[in-house]
Amino acid sequence: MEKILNVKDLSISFKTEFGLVNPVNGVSFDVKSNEILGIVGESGCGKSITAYSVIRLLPNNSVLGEHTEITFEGENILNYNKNDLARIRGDRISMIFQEPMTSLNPIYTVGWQLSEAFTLHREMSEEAVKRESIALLEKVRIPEPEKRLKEYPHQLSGGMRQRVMIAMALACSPKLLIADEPTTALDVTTQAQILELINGLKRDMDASIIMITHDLGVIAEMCDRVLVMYAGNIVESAEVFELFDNPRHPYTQGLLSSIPNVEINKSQQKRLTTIKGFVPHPANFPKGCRFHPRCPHAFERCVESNPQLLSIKGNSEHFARCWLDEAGDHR
Amino acid sequence: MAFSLKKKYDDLEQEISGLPVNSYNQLVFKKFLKHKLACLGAVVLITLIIFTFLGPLFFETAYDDMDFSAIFAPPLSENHFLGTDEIGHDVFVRIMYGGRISLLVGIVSSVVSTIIGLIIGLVSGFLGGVWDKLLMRFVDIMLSIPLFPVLLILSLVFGSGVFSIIMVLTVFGWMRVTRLVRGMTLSLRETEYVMASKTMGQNRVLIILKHILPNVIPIVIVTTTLNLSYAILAESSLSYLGLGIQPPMPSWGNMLQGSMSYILGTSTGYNPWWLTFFPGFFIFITVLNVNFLGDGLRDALDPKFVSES
Repeated sequence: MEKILNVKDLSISFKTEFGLVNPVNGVSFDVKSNEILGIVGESGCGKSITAYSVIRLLPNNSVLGEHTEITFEGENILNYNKNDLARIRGDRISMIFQEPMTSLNPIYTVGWQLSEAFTLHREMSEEAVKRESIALLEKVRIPEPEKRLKEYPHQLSGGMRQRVMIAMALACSPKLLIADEPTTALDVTTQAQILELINGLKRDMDASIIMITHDLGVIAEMCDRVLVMYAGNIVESAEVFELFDNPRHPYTQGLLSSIPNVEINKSQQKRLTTIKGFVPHPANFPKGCRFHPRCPHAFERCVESNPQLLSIKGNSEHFARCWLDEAGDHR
Repeated sequence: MAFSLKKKYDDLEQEISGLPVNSYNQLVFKKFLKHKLACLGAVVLITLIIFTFLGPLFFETAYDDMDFSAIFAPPLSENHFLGTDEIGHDVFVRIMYGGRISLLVGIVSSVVSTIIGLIIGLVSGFLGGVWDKLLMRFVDIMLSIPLFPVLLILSLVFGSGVFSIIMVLTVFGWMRVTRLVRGMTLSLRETEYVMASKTMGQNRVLIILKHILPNVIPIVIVTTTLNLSYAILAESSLSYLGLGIQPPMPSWGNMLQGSMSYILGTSTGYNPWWLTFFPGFFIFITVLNVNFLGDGLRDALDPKFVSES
């Protein structure tokens, strides 16, 4: 499959009062056309800023690494100036945010906000904008779209606002959609509807999606491939079934075993497994493997040096950053 | 620009559906009408403006005409509706002319200083970093300069007149608006809809104009009305201290000041109370109604309370 996005050796540092902190390090991945790539990890792992860097929306005090390359549709977007970026943002790459309650400007109607994308990237007559806006709202399955166009965000429910957000992101039929925890703030039933909607849209629109989440359920439901991030590194990357069947990194194993299971039968209920400790602050990532202080399998080598992302034997699409795999120790 | 785009959109909507649509502005207007005190304030202020600016056209008496046949004439006396002062100036005429100056000083200085404050606040909040620090320290410096000594010096240098009063009140009046707008901009800049607008490829100037400015405007309008009453009072107190508008040109403030010598009665035991009462009454009415108006505008413009109902 054709690669639509290629990120090579992404490192992001921030100038802060503690000096330079480096929350993302040596992250490389690609997104193929028409696939959903999941990025999963705890809060503070660098998932979101990895995604933001793709659309070049990092805060002003951030610096990208020297060897970082981000290629979108064959062009290195790091060479883009402000105007080039403004041209692709919202047109070929767009974004869905986590918080539908605050992602819409309270003083404008839904119709006005939808028209922003069209007026920025397409030269369209006003009637055409209106027609397209209605079509978009229908596409994200909002009932009575004509009426909704005139409504203000506070008149809509959370799920409805998230649909409007998605409609805004889809306005110019982007090739790449970055969804930053699109369902975290929604209740479970709405979540299911939104996920189904995104899935359907991907099929219809021939777009690729980067789905950032900390919910492995969402990953299992939606994604083709998964990157597991921990403390600014990719610790494991695999196709979704492979990852769930055969997790190789202790962190991935920890995440999978800490999914709460619903068990009515008392005798089968067990205490929820957790990964002890917290994600370290980027200013003091541990030496060696960044997961070793929390890893149940850590040994001397893990303390000394951080392993590379190594291909797993017998599967060229599955990588893990763990010394145990190099040692050939199959857990 | 933000408004024109929105207006076009509303017009279009109306055209297509064929039904009247409540635009944002219409909703604001409706809400404003529901606020009785604010409507009263608006009516009173408009009346005052018409009264002071058009009123003198219907009177032949000028503000400095002296009627020596009627000195200290009480209100409702012949030819002098609100009486006269110690040299036979007609109080009613002087109230009109004085109101022109007081309202002009108040409106011009508060509007100009609000616009300056708004621009500096938006720039400071949106750019952040070094610019923000520099501008905010400048605001601190401006705020720490005591107003009255400066006014004393300026009135000595420039002379005291309408223009120099407006200038001084403007130069020293924008800082509160700046702080307020800067604070709001800082928080609005981080909102997800601004972020979303960035991801859509909107440029920074248009983000400020379309997304941040309209959210700041309601608060700014309220501050303007508060500044307006502050400016009217400041002009009064300056004139009262003899630093503002100089007689024979009247302003409400210097009319009050002129009456001060007689506040306990003249040497002959005569008490011309109307010289104190009427200028004071008009200042009071103006400031009160400006505050009513500001209150109503704030409620009407707050987007969180605008709804169809």
